Amino acid sequence: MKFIHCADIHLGSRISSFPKEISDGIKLDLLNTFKRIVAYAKSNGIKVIALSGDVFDSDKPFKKDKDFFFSVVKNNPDIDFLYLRGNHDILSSGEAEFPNLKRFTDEWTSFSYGDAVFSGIEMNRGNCTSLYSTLSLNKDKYNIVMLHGQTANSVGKDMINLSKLRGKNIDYLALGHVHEYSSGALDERGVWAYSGSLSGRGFDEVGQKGFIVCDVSARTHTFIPFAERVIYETAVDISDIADAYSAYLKVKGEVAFEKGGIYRVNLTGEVNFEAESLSEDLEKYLAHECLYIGVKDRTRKKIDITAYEGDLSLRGEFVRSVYADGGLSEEDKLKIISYGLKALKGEGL
Amino acid sequence: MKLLSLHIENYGKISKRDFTFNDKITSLCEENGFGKTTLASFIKAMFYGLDPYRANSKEFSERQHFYPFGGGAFGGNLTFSMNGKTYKIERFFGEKSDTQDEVKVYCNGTLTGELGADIGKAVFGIDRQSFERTAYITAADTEISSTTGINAKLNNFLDGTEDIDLDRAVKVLEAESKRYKKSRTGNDLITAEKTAIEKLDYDITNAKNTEAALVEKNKRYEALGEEISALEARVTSAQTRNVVLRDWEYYDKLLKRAEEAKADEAKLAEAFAAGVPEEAELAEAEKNINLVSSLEAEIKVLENRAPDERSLKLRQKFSVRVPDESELNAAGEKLEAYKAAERKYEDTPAFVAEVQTKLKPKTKYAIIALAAGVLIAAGGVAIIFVNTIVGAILTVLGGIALVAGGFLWLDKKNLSDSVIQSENPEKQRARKQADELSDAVKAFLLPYGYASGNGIIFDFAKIREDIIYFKNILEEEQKTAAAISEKTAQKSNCTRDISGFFAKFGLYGDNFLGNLSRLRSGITAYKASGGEVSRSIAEAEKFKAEKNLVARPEGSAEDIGGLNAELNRLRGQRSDLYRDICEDERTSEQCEIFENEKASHAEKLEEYKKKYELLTATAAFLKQAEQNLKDKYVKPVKDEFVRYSELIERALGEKVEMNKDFEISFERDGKLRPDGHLSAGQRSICALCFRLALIKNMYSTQPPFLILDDPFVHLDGVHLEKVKSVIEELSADMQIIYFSCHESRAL
Repeated sequence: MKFIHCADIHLGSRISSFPKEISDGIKLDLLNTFKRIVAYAKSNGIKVIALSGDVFDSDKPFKKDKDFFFSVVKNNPDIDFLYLRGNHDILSSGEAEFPNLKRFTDEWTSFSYGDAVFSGIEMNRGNCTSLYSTLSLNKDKYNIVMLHGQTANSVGKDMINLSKLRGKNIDYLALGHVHEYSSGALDERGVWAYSGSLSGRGFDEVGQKGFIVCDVSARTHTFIPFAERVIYETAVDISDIADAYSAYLKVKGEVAFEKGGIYRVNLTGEVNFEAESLSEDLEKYLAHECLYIGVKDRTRKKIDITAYEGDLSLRGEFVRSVYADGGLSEEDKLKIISYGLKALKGEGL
Repeated sequence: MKLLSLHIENYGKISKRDFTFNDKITSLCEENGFGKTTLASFIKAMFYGLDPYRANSKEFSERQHFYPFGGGAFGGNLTFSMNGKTYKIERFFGEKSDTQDEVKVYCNGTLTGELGADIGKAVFGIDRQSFERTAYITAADTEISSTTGINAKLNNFLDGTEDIDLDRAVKVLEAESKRYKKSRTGNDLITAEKTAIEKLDYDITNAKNTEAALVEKNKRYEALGEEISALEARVTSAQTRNVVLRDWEYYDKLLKRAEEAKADEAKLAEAFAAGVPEEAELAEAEKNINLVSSLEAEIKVLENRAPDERSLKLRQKFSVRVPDESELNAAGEKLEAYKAAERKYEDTPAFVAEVQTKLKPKTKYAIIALAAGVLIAAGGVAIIFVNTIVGAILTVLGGIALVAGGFLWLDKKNLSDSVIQSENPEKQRARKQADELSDAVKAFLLPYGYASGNGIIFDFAKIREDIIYFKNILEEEQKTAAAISEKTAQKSNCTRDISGFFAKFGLYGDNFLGNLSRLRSGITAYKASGGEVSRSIAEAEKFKAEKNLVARPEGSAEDIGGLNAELNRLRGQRSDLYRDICEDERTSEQCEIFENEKASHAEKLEEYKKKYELLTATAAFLKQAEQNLKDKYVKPVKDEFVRYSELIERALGEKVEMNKDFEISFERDGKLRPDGHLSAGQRSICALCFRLALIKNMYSTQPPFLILDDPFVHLDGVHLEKVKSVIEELSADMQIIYFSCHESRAL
């Protein structure tokens, strides 16, 4: 038997950091990806999809998002959806009831599929410390436990203490809450895994996103990258680059752009040329390389302070007095010096 | 420090030359093109080196400029004393890159690294640019205008460039700052961003309010869903209940039908208490009914037989009486007698001789009178049946008219006859008899309206025929009346029999066929009534069992239409609410866009604020730097200048002063005058002294030597001599290397 473990779909999530058309596309991806997972399950003969929390982004999801999710469930009666609510949607109402929608509660609830038994509990303040002692599993079964929270060394709401789950006959601990895939050994018998979110929603959710396919018979689990668009953030040092075009070449050489990818490139290092519109220039140059690119200029203007140490002029005095100011950051000092020198030369700012 | 000597191996156009410098003044009077600039560059290069050659540089670098024309080692050495030690710098340069440069420093003949890599800075405490700006003075440098401000004076001097303008720089910064923030109008980038953020805050608040309201709307939507479900259940229940009630109703109907059948059965039994008539009886009754119908039809035919026109006329003529046979015979006899008299009259010759008959004019009056008489008499006869009196009068009048016409007619003949013949008496008697007989016959005919004008023979024949015809009619009428009477009696008998028959079964009235039908139905019903009650009861019980009718629901049937109307109303409300929610969700989603925009504006605002902050800080730093320079140089320079003023006074014969803004004035005739009143040569000396004062304050370590490149080209011979003494005195403080290109200006 195989089943899909996924979590943190966050339907209805607000998408920031992007222009509207990209935000709309990402929101659409959240819906499409869930549909595609169901199609993946069908085409691979998978009958169970375990949702380890945060299907919705809010306790009060929009009606259209609820309608979408429950409609997908309703229209795929040959697949069982094991729906455990997470911290984001724990209070969402569950008015929809379908035979193939299996819900969990704040008490341990189990659903059996042959030798595989899915047990889950929706965490709250009342059960977050006791859930470890109230969990009882048949050692002769393949036990999948579903929880939503952050692994921690202590216990509490939205916290999962792995050490307290050891020796509980867990074969696969299907976790949700962390948006990046990760897994590890739980004990001699079982493993834990976060499937991560299905799609990245911002530059705080970069990298491949997807779900996990678990093979009960083979006792394996495989992460399947599945997001339609991947978000990347990378830093490129453009020190000693002479101009914007050279910076573009440097970025292009260092970043393997994907056409459908969403990128943020942080430019770092010290530059020795006027780069007021460097970000905008690079965004234009790189626009055709991917779906969306944002360039952040975090470079510093290269100014050799020591060159002004023996300069007795107003310029030297200015540079020295700025540099000696303890209340300014290095970045501010460099900018002030840059502005001052330009102004003294009579150049525009 | 003092320059002692130098050796140029190759540098520009100077090759393999040695120069030795005095402690105070070394005066070199050489023609133009000797290479004063080259020598000055060499001295600087020995202390500070040369910048590497850059291919993309627009400037013609010194390394490029002074690379030896004839090749060979590029460089040389320079010896100087400092702090009691003698140093020798050996430098050789590569053609382009400074990586091939070689530099060695000897101290008292021993290679040393104590001056470090930046020898010039170690010796003079200033960088190469500052050294360039101070150690080399040309004629132009001694032409500092008295009107030049202190900033320009100081900055230009210190910076060595002519374009340093603090005021301009501050204006540039302030103009740029105002682009970000203006004090009054608010027409700036920061205000624009704040305004945009404020607007977006409202948008966000509205979107969030809309989203917050969605909670209640969703609750209402769910509640409506529950209401609808409950109402749907109620409708279903009501429909079921109504069906059960209808089933019970039908069941009741079946029972009622049984009851009615039972009552009908009893009623029929009562109706046929005398026994059920046989079919033959019914057939007889039916036959009689048909007979009655037939008789009624026949009687109606007889009663409705219409007399013909002739009989109607005859009935009028003989309305009083019909002449009996004797009267008719008597009249007939008279008519026969009349005929005989007429024949006799005809056969008897009327005249003795033949007479010619001539028609007279009165003839047509006779005809008119006769015609009128006939018409009036006929009309009178006709009217008699309507109005006897008028009819009789008209008849009499008609008769009179006829008589009158007759007389006229007769008068005409008589007149003719009388005129042309003589009468035969026999004939006259015959005539008279005939007329009398004719009158008698007419008297008989006239009361019955027979006066056709066709003659009494015709009229008599007509009356006799009419009488026969009329008698036949009367006889026929009598026969008809008898037939009607007979049939009526027969019908009456039949009707009595039929009524009696039906009365036995409680059926009355003259609708015999209806009674017969009812009787037959009754017979059929009576015959069939035996099983209807049990059948109806069985059917009712079977229906009850089939429909599982156990307990009769309380109350009456629900109004399903009303419930459905309420259901539709709620569904409509829910549908409206759904659209409302969708619209609100779309509006709420705008919040994300607003927040993104707000974040973008906030980012810009911070950027602008930062830029504004940095720009204002830059302006402040620049002003502070200037103040620092002033603090650092003004008083020392002024003090130093004052020290030189006595020297100048001696040289120029004028007492010179300098204020805090470095403005020079001199005392003449007991009054202080601006330096504009000084000659160019005098100003050159002042400028030189000012520059020396500055230089002495700039160098934190060793005061440098001074290279004067023919600075006094403007001085006349008298003043030049005075200046020479000044230079000599100045050289006590600072080693001077003085170049001139004319003996007149040589020291």
